[in-house]
Amino acid sequence: MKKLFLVILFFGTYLTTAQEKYTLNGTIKETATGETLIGVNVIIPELQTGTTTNEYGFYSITLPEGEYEVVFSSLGFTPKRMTLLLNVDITQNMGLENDTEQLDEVVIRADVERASIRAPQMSVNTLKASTIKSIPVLLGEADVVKALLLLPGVTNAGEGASGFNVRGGAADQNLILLDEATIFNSSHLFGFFSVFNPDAIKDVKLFKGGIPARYGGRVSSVLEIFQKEGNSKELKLSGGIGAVASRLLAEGPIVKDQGAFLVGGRASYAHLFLPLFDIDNKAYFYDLNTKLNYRINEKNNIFLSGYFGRDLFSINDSFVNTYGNAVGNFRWNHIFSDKLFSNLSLIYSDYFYGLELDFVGFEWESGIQNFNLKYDLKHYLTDKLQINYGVNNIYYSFNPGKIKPNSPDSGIIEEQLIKKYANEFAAYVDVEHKITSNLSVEYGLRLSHFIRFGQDEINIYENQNPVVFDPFLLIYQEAEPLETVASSRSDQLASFTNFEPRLSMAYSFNEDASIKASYTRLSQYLHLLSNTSSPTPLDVWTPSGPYVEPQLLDQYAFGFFKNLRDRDFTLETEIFYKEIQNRIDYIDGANLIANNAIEQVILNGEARAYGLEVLLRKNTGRLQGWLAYTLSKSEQRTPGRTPSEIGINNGEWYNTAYDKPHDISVYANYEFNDKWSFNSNFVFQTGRPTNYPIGQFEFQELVIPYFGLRNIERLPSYHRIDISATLKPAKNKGRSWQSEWVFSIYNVYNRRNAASINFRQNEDTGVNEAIRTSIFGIVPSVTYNFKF
Amino acid sequence: MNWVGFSIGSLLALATLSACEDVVEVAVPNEPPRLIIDALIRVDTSQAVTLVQVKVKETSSFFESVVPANLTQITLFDLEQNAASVLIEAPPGSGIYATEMSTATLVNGDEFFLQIDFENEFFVAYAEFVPTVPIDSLENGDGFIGDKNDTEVIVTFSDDPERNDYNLFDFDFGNYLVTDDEFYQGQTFSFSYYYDEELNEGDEVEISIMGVDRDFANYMNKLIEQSEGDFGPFETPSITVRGNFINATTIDNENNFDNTNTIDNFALGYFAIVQEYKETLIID
Repeated sequence: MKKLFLVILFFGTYLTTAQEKYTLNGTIKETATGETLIGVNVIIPELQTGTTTNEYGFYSITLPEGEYEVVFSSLGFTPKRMTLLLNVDITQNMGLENDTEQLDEVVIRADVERASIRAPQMSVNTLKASTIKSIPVLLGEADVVKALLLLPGVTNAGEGASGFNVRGGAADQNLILLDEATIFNSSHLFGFFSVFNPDAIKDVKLFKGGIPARYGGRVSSVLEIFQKEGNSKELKLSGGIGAVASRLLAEGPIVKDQGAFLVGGRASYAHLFLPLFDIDNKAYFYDLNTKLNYRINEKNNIFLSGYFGRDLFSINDSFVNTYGNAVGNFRWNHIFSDKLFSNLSLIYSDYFYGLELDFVGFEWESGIQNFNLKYDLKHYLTDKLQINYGVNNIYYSFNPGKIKPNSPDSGIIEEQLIKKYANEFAAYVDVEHKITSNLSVEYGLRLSHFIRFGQDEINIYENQNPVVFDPFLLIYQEAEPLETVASSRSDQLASFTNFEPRLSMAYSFNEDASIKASYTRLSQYLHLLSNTSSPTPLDVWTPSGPYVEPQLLDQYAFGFFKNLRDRDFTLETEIFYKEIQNRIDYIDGANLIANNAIEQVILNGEARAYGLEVLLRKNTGRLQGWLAYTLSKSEQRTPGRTPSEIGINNGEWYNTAYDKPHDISVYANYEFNDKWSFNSNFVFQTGRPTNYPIGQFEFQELVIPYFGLRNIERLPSYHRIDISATLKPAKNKGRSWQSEWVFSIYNVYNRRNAASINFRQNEDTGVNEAIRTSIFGIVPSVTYNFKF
Repeated sequence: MNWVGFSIGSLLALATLSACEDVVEVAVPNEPPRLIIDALIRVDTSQAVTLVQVKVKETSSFFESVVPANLTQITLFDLEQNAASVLIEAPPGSGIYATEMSTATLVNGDEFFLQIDFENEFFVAYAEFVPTVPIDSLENGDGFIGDKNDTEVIVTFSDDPERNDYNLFDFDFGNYLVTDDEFYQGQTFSFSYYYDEELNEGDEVEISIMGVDRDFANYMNKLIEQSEGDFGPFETPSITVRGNFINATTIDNENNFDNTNTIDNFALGYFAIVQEYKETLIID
């Protein structure tokens, strides 16, 4: 890999020295807060070229000598134009001003969409924190994941389901990065809320396809979330009081214009879900976001960020459940030269799950920890060529579970399920290349290498086959191990190497229309063991190894992008097709929890998904918003491993639990006047796949439904409308205390959307019934937000 | 269900309690009736003679009722002793077939073979006696986990340190629980069971412990899970729980030594011979 780097560097150097060129670079910030801005377009109209700021607000572009007009623009900010004489290398830092206060004035048509029409990057959606906050949501709690669900290609298994599904992928196939640290569980309270505090967030980017080579490790999507750095100008407090939770965030300078801090906390009120009980129950969550940044000098910036979140449930003290993520991250931005930007990250993240059951007499703990070292370089060679390269190493420690007695008189014996260890290394090169003014290409290669290290015990099976098939009963069963062997933590039980090529290209017909195509290969070495329709907090992660293969994805996407009506509207349409090898599936009735030999219940299958996505956005004016439509299919199958096995579901393709052929979302935001603004969502989705019994039988006193092929039936279609109104009182004007009231109604027409339909015998009458469970009917709420 | 699984089940149930449930009309698919064999033979080793009783029925669509089946013949073979006993239906038309056997024969470790002839098909299954340990005590508790009307019963038993045991508890009223001694091997172990049923002071509940092997434990876990109709977004996959009866009609030793060509030709149910200890408790 090193050789490849050198070749590319040499090639790059050659290109740059061949002509008389100078570099313009700098950092772009929001004027009022000093917060760096991501994805700001820096455009040189005369040359029809440009660049965008990176995750740290840095940009660099190298141009022939000359005098140019440079335009700095970003959605939601007033664009700035300036003329620069480029006859030496120039560092031009820039401050942009928020344009939300200028709505009554002439709306400035920004050149914001021009760059994205030409950029090869496709299948990506960006949401600003302000958009996330304006979307009406359940109980008024602004929520990142709920906002993502309104985008094309993104769904979840239903209300109260945790995680999200991108382009027919599973929830564990999303790489969720908070300030570059992996978050293993994105949900609070089983998915009613997500773990990201919207006040602390700057920018959210979801890659659904065409994923650049700097990302890897999950096969479906990358959700990249950047926390705000903190206001480096003045101390600010903001917060909100809602029906479910309250938030408080403090940010301010450590040294003015040089360093800033941010501390944000959020906590829900206890007894949230328990109006039905008058007993001693608790159910709440809290989370804490922190960030420190300090600019040592023009070339060096350091950041420390942290996240800590926990959920807690308890029932009458006989049942106590705690879980959550913790993340710590140190980063160092170093600018080697005006063309070479680097970032070093040292990241620790973990997920913890704990349970105490007093009525059985035990405590249970499980989790995953990882240590991540990343070094990324961005090399801005010319205005036509940028090369990104870097390395990444992650060491994982998995605790599948530890059980111990919770009191001296408990009969439980302490036992640690066998811990697992693994290392994932990756190196990548990614080239952004403007070949002509109409054709741009981004191509890259990621090399990933995964090692599963030795552990205290591992089972050895006959023919290395931990799952056996009974040819008479036609069922898969756990194999009895021949022996268990111990291995040291420096041994390698298995290792995998994968080359992951990435290619995206864009051809623009003019400034307002382009077509794009991409191919992505990704590998995933970690699997969430989950057999339910959406993940539960208890699910444990397991590494690939001797019996579990890594998942491999090939995705092809093709898109058409157009600005309409003088760029008032943008239209993005894409089709995609993807295939995943080695998608794990479980034998019937597999027990995944506290299972020390998980290989005995896993079979390697495959998955595929394809679809069409349309996103029509209105970007300007009083009325803004979007219409998203997705038509898609998501299936999996696990055929028999030999002709004498029947496989799962008779080896036939079946719909995944999150297959939703039609998915329509509409989001609209209307700024009525200075005081009032209104927001609304409409969501329509095909009901998720489910199973209806083909018959029933009795055994002892049990009445048991039984089923045919999987996921053939569907729940009724899901739809609802949410609305909200935001009031900014007139007295806000001219004072530092700014406040707003948000009145929202979720599910306005009180539709009882089925979360599930289940079949069981009524305990009292003995009559068999189909039971529809619906989670939220109409839910009104009020939230008060403030800042000063 | 193992303990942790059990508890998370209750937790998720709780989480979705804020949800609302209603009964809906659903048109369910249907398939031709299938044989169900309930051949769980509970053996009380203190008795000299054991009634071997097998209930056979035919499946129905979910909203109809299952009806007794009429077998051509049902025979229990003791493979070690090379002895066969034919079970007799009593009363006729009930689908209940029975015979009496010496308890000593059932528990001495012999392998038993149950053969059923039904509508020109042969269904067969094997079973061996599985022992267990007695219940040390049953006590009333005053805890609750779902709502205050829960009835708590505390069960104590002493696990046999020499064996890896699975136990099936029958808590009466169609409530079953499977335990695995992995985490309490050889210990005196207590746990609480909470009844959903409305039980009143003075009601009598009969609770029994049965010894089961791993396969039957897995089977019962799956049955319990499917019969509960888990609800909410965390529902587990709906499956057809297959038991240990093999359709032997088309199996021959030369050409066809499996059932992979007749995937749908199976009977439901299980054949197991288990030791049972039964205790009663008056609810206070």
